[in-house]
This record gives sequence, structure tokens and C-alpha cells, in this order.
Amino acid sequence: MLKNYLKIAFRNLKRYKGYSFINIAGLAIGMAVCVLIMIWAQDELSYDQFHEKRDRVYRLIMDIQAGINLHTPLSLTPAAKAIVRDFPEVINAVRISRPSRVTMKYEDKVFQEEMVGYAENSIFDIFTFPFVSGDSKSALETAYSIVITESMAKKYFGSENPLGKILRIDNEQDYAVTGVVKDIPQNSHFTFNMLRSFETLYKEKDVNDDRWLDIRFYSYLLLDKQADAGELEQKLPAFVDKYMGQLLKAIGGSLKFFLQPLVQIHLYSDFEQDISVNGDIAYVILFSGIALFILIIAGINFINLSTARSATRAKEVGMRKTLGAVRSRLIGQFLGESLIYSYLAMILSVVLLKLFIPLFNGLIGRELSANFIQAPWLIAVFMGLAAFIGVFAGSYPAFFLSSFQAVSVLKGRIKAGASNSRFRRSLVVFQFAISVALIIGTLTVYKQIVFMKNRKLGFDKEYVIVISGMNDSMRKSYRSIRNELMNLPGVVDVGASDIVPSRGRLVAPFLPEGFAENQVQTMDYLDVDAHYIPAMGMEIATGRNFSEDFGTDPDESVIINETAAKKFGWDDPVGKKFIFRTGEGSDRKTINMSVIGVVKDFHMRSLRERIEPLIIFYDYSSLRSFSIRIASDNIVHTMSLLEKKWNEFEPNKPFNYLFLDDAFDSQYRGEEKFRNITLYFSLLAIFIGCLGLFGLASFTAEQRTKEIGIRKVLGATNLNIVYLISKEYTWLVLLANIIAWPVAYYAMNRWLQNFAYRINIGLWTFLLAGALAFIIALLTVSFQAIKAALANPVDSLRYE
Amino acid sequence: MINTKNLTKIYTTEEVETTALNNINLEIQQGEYAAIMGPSGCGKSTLLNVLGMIDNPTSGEYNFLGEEVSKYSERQRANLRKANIGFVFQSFNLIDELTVFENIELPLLYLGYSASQRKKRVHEVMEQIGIMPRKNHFPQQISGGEQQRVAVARAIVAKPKLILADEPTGNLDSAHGEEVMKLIGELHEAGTTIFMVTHSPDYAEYSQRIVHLFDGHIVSENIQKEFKI
Ligand SMILES: Nc1ncnc2c1ncn2[C@@H]1O[C@H](COP(=O)(O)OP(=O)(O)OP(=O)(O)O)[C@@H](O)[C@H]1O
Ligand SMILES: [Mg+2]
Repeated sequence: MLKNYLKIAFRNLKRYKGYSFINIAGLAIGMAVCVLIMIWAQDELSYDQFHEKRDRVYRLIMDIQAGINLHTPLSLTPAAKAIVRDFPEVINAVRISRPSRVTMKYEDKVFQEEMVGYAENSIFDIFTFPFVSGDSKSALETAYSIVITESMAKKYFGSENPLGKILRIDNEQDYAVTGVVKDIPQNSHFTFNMLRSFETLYKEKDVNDDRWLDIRFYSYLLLDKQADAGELEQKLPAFVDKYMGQLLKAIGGSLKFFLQPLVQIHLYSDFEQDISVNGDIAYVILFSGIALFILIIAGINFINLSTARSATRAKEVGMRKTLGAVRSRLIGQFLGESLIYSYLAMILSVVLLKLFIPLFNGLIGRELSANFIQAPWLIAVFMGLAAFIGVFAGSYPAFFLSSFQAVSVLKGRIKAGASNSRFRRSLVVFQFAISVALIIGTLTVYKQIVFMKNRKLGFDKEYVIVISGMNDSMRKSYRSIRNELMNLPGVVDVGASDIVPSRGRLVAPFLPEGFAENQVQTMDYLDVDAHYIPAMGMEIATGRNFSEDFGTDPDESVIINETAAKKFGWDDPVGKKFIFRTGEGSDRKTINMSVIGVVKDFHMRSLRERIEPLIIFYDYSSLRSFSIRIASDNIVHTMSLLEKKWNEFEPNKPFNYLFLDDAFDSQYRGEEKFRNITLYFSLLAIFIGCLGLFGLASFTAEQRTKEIGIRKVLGATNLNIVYLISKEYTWLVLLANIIAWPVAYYAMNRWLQNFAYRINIGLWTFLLAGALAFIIALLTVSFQAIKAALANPVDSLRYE
Repeated sequence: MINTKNLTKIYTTEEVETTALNNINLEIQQGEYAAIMGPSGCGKSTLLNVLGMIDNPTSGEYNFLGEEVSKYSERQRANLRKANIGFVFQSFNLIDELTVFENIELPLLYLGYSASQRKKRVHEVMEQIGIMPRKNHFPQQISGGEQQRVAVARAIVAKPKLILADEPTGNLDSAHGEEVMKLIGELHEAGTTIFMVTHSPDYAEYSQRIVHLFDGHIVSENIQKEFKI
């Protein structure tokens, strides 16, 4: 009997190649996408799981309120150490700097090395970074020692023993290699190539454990096995009060510490200044949901096509029943058939998965793999998925088909499709609703990105080259260097600042005129030279820019932005003062700096963030980056001139630059990734939906061949016929739009809340998405309809 | 009205070539009532299909109402067809999903009649052939004879110049058969050209002229009555 069933199943497969292909291909794509997202989600969820003490490690994060709110993963520098001292349940703590780029030199090898940071030696106690050589107990105990990863060791020292080798950083300091660790796993929330000892910072007088208002490092605490993080968190306000109480009172601010579990950092962080780019649990849920929907769409095709074909199978059912088959047997037969389909689909989906993975990796910038030997759970997932779909998608057709009464089938009372067409239609509506919602999502993300890239930023980001790494001697001779640069052909203007737009943020408390001592206002600040504002194309709204002709400007003058003026309620800001207190005890002095101008608001940060009150100082000693505006033609030549000049000033550092527009736009890479993923998801969803629609339409067309023939004989034009076949499905797609629109509107509106500056979704997005889905559906359906319409009427009539 | 020269239709299937029509030369005048007779498989239906322009001849000329149509596109043929020809098929060819009324209405729909015009005309025809009580039934719900009458009604509803009928009485008992023949006779009286396939010599008697077909050839023609205009 089983052999008989199998035979029928495979004959059906061969006989209805089109349907079988649609069924199997659709399911295979659905499964491949589903498993792909599973692999990705599994990877996202695996972050930091490799640390042995992961359940006891917490990151110390904080909220500061002083004028503005700062929610940051950075901590006060002395805090971690003091917490270990004060709380016995905290066994250990580590401070880590955000790894950055340095110039690394070993003998004749010079590289720009990314991801070089500072950390205390306790990092190797708290985290699990296995040593290849060196002593994990002491590697970073002494100043000027450095621990490097295995691949770095290979890069610089080849097969030589790296321990004891000397690396020169930024041509200033020498570090001795004291340890080599295994490369940091991909699924670590922070990564490094090299770590310098934190001790170095003490030696360099860069860190001082008495200076509490220093926010630069990420602090992690290791708790005792019995300790309760919640209880500890309760005790932290008292700790803040003990060390910072007076200070906070003086500035009228408040500060609160929180403990963030290590394993939650990757998916549950939403900080501007995090140690690296994090994932987002919302995306994990969203994409898993979409993947599931795609699978459902494919499953729907399966159900739809099987039931649509019921007429063809009805006779078989009738005959089998007449010959004595009981219903349960028939159900078994049909379920078996659908299992055969889903397992064939599974085989295809494994192939598809292997094809998708590199594409997907390119899209998200990771190196996921579907290796069945490394991850045997994948085999189980595939088998389970195929079984689940086979039974789930197969059970409706199975119960439906097996319910046919022998007599009604033989009397021809079962009209193919008619009895369950409403069910099928609602499934088609559901499929297209998902597709339409995805299109709307993609369009909205796309529009927001275009909006952010094209928005006037308050300065001109095009044709600006930023060269960072100004050292002390360059600061001292800044004016003459600037003159030399200005003399190069192709250089339009040169300015300098400490930070540049999109790269970093400086925040500090300030006391503007008219505010009480305990009402300090936290503001963004920026240090520039007198040429920065015009060179960047920023505009002065009122007052004047800094001038080299006013020798007192650096000490006495500041410029604020419009937002600051508005926030402080200054209708006429020029002349208003900021009050600074310096020195301690008897040396304590009060200095006033007055506002000489207001610069029109400009975006230092991405358009996700609101423009904050800003104060700009004229301060040569803080300059770090040149911003060079160049002519739009002959860029290559200009660049080579700049490089030559740079090498004259600084022969030991490679010429390193970035284009400001690229740098600024790169802030939206996350959004672009998101857009690409939704785009591909929508395409897949639509494709699978269309496969199904195509199958249904061809089925309808086939079923109605005779009708089409008769109509044509009676005078119907081809257009009449196309309309006849298409209209049923086009209505369904319209209905799908009506369902999808509010859902998509709600979801995308929520997404847009991430952006301080955002688009209105606008009706046209919905219309366009609707029109797209409509046209695609129409094309799919009318392909069949046109085929039917173009046939010679007599051919259609002879069919039967 | 109809004039064919060496009209030939060859069916080519994988194994064999069947010459269903072999050099047919046939002329039918406007207002004529002609019957075709011949054994099963001799090509009667094929001839009707070709003359009705729902199938293409393999070779030969076919002049319909002064137009050479053998090379016409499907669209051009469709336009000629819907304005001039009514069909009654051997196997009715009613649309299962439509009611009796809707089936009969179809040709008018494609000719662009308004809803009220359609209703009036369809009711007229249904009255005429006595299927009014079946108006809202579906084809599966009525008897074979009734289906045949609906098919006739559909053929005549648009008052075509030419009616091509493929055994319009094939499924009817003699009483109903007579009725349908009478109906066709009346249409002829009213000036419609009739070309009808029949196996029954009795019904063939209604016509003015009998064309005998054998193996794709016209073997004989006998004029029955004087030509009436
Ligand atoms: N589509 C086709 N393909 C191949 N051969 C065909 C096709 N249609 C008809 N024939 C053949 O052409 C010949 C004429 O068929 P046709 O249907 O015209 O016969 P008929 O005279 O109407 O017969 P009947 O009285 O049984 O209706 C037959 O031999 C038939 O088998
Ligand atoms: Mg025939």
C-alpha cells in the first residue's frame, strides 16, 4: 500500500510539474530564510556567552542629569575601584577604554592598527580571553606593557616569540609585549587587537583616582557567587552620595548607577557612546517574525495549491472510497504526500541556505556559516521544520480532500475550488498584506535615509577632508601650517577643531548668566580656530565669528548656537556671559567669557539626535583635526599635494584622512543594513506570494478554459478575458492593502521615533507600495489570463 | 454570404495527419437554409468551426460577407463573429457558473447592450423558446433538452445574420426536437441564414438544401425547394 501511495505521490509530482515546482520552491525558500534567520538570531543571542563568569559580570552604567540627561555606558573613572573597596560582594572590577586607531611600529613595519585600547589586568580574571603565551595574572600589571592577539603576533613577529618584543605606538611610546591571547571571538560585545596596560595612564598622569567627574572608561564588575545584583544596585545611591554628594549638590545635578548584566549588553543597549556597535533585541524579534511570516506564506501556497487541485484529486478519493478505503487511511495518504513535498523542499533549502549565507553575511557584515558538522543542531532544525510544515500545511488539504463523499464526487457535485475558495482567498489576502507591509517598511526606511543624507546640516559636508592627529608641535605652529596648506592649489579653506561632526561628542556643565550656582547647564562644546566656522560653511546668525585680530578672543569670547540661546531665553545673546570657576581654595577665581556671536544650528551628530545647546571656544591648545575644504575638481591631485605637505610636517605618521561627507553618512550604516534586509525580505515574500498566486491563477485559467472558449465564441475580446481572470485576484490584493496599511503605519511610525529629525510617512508611500503589489500581482495573474485569452477558442472548447 | 474555395483543414497530431476538410468549395447565399449530413467523423463540426471562424483553415480561401477572412487575426475574427454569427454547439457549451439568464445574456454583454436592453431581449427569447421558468437555474440543474434550448436561445439572442447549429436536436425527444426545428424555421422565415448539422433526414427536410459530406469532401448537394427570398 505504501508503495502505491509513493507511486501516486511521485506521479502527481511529475504530472503537475508546475504546481510541484511552485510548492517545493516556495517552501524551500521559506525554510532557507527561516533557518538563516535562526542562525543569525542564535548568533545574536550567543554574544558574550563564552565568558565563564558571564552570569556574575555586570557593566556599571549611569544616568546623569545636569541640564541635559546623559544616559551612558561609561562610568566615572574612580568608581569601579571604590566599589570593589566598599562592597565585599564585588570581587573584582576592570576599566577598559574604547579601542581606537593608532600608528603601530615594529622595526621597519608600520601599520595603522585598529582596535587598540587600554585595560586593567583584571580583565583576564573577569572575562575569558585565553592566553597563548605570557602570564594572565600579571601581563598588564606594569606600565608600558601590551597584550596582543594571536593574529597580531603573527602579523608583526611572524614565527618569532612575541614576548618581550617592543612595539612603538604613535611614534611616542614603547610598549613591551607581555602576553598573547587567542583572537577575540566574533560574538563578543567588544573586541580588541591590542590592549595597553591601564597603569600606563597613571604613569602618564592621564588618570587620577581623585578626579571623579571623568567619564571615559567602561567599567565592569565581577560579583561574588552569592551576591545579588539587584541588592547591590539598591546600595549604589548611598555610594554616590558618599563620594559625589557635595559635588552634585554644587552643580545641582544628580547621578544614578545601574548594573547591566554582561549577556544583555549586546542586545539590550541603546547608547550613543558604546564600546562597539551593538545589536538590538527588537531587530532579532522583528526579523524572526518576518522569517516566520515568509515561511507561513510558503505554507499557505502549499495549502492553497493542494486544495485548489482538489477537483483533480476528488475522483481518486471517490474511487478509493468506493473501493473501501476508510477516511483515516486517506488522511494518512495525503499527509504522506505533503511530507514528501516538504522533505524535497528541505533538500533544496539546504542548497539555498548555502547560497544565501554569503549574501546575507555581506549584508550584515558578519561571518555566519551553516556548517552541519560544527552545528549539528541545524540538521535537527531542518528535519523538524520539514516535518512540521509537512504535517501542518498538509493537514488541511488532507482533511479536506478525504472528506469528499463518494457519491457527490461521482455525480460531479464537487465543483473544484468553489467550496473552499473563500478560505483560499483569505490566505492570498494574508500573503499580500505581509508583502505590502514589508514594501511600505522598506520604502519608509529608504526615504528616511535619503532624507538624512540630503538634509541641510547647517554646514557643507561635501569636499571637506579631515586629517586628525595634530600633535603639540603642530598646534604651536598652527598658523604657519595653515598658511602653507592654504597656499596649495585646490585648497579652498582650512580650519581646525578638536572633534569633527559625527566623530565624538564633548559634553560638560556650564553656568550661563542668569542661572544659580546649582543650576549648571550641561552643554555640548567644541574647540575651534578662527577659520573653522567659515571653512565649514557654518553661518553666523548674529554677532561675529572669532578673529585672529582680537588677541583677547581665546580667553574672553565664546560662540553659542541658536538652540542654546533659545534654551537660556536670551533674545539678544551677544554680550551674555558664562561663568567659570577655576582653582581650589584660595586660588579659586571666577572668569567670565562673553558671547560674541550666535552660529546657526548645525548637526554635529546624526539626525537621530536632537541638536543640543552648544558652546564653542576659540582654543588652539585643544585642536586635534584639520578640516580642509578643497575644490571639487582635481581632487586626486589636491590629495597628493596634501599628502606631500603632511609628510613634511609629520614624517613618522602615515597620511590619514577621511572625507567628512562619507564619515557623516556612515552614521546611517545601521539603517542602511536594516533597509537592505527588509528589502530582500520583501522581495522574497513577494516572490513566494507571487509563486502561489501564479499557481492559483494558472489553475483558475485551466479550470475555466472551456468557459473562456465559450465566451470568446460569443464575442468576448482578449481584454474581456484578461479582466475576467484577473479581477478576482486584484480585488484580493486591494483588500490586502487595506489590511496592511494601518499595521505598517503603526510599525513604521514607531521606528521613526528613533529619529529626532524624521520624515512624515506620507500617503504616497502607501499608494506606491499598494501600486507595486498590485502591478506585480496583476502581471503574475495576467500572464496566465493572456495565455488563456490568446488561445484559439476551438482549442479551449475541445478541452474537457 | 459564405464562399469558400478549396478550403482544407488538416489536423496534425503526433502520429497521424487527419484531413478533416478536403478542398471544400461551398457557397451559401444570404437567407439560405442549408443542412449538412454525413457519417460521424466526416468533418461536419470542423466545417462549422471554420465557417464560424473559431478555427483556422489549413489552406484555401474563405470569403465571409465579402471579406477574405482566412488570414484574419483572432481579434478581427472575433469582431466579425460577435456581430454576425450565432452558435449552437453539439455539446451545448453552457457556462456552469452562470445561470440560464446569464448564459443567454452573454453575447449581448459583449456587444455592449445596456442592462435594461439585455433584460428585455433575453426575456423575449426565453419566452419564445419556453424556458422562462428556468431563468435562475444553473445548467447542472436542468435537463439535457432544456440545456439544448438554452444553447439555441443564446445563439439567437443577438439576432445574428448567420446561425451555425451543430446537431441542435441531438439531445431532444421528437416533440422538443420539432419545437426547436420550428424555431429555427421561424428565424429563417425572418431572414436569418441557417447552416445546420444533423443526422436526422427528417429534420434535414426543413432545409432548402442538403450538403452531404464524406471523409472531408462534399459528395453531393440537393436543392430541396425553390429559393425563397
Ligand atoms: N483537434 C483534433 N485533432 C485531431 N483530429 C481531429 C481533431 N478534431 C477533429 N479531428 C478529426 O477530424 C475528423 C472530423 O471531425 P469532426 O468533429 O469534424 O467530425 P464530425 O463530422 O463532426 O463527427 P460527429 O458526427 O461524430 O460529430 C475526425 O476524424 C476527427 O477525429
Ligand atoms: Mg460533430
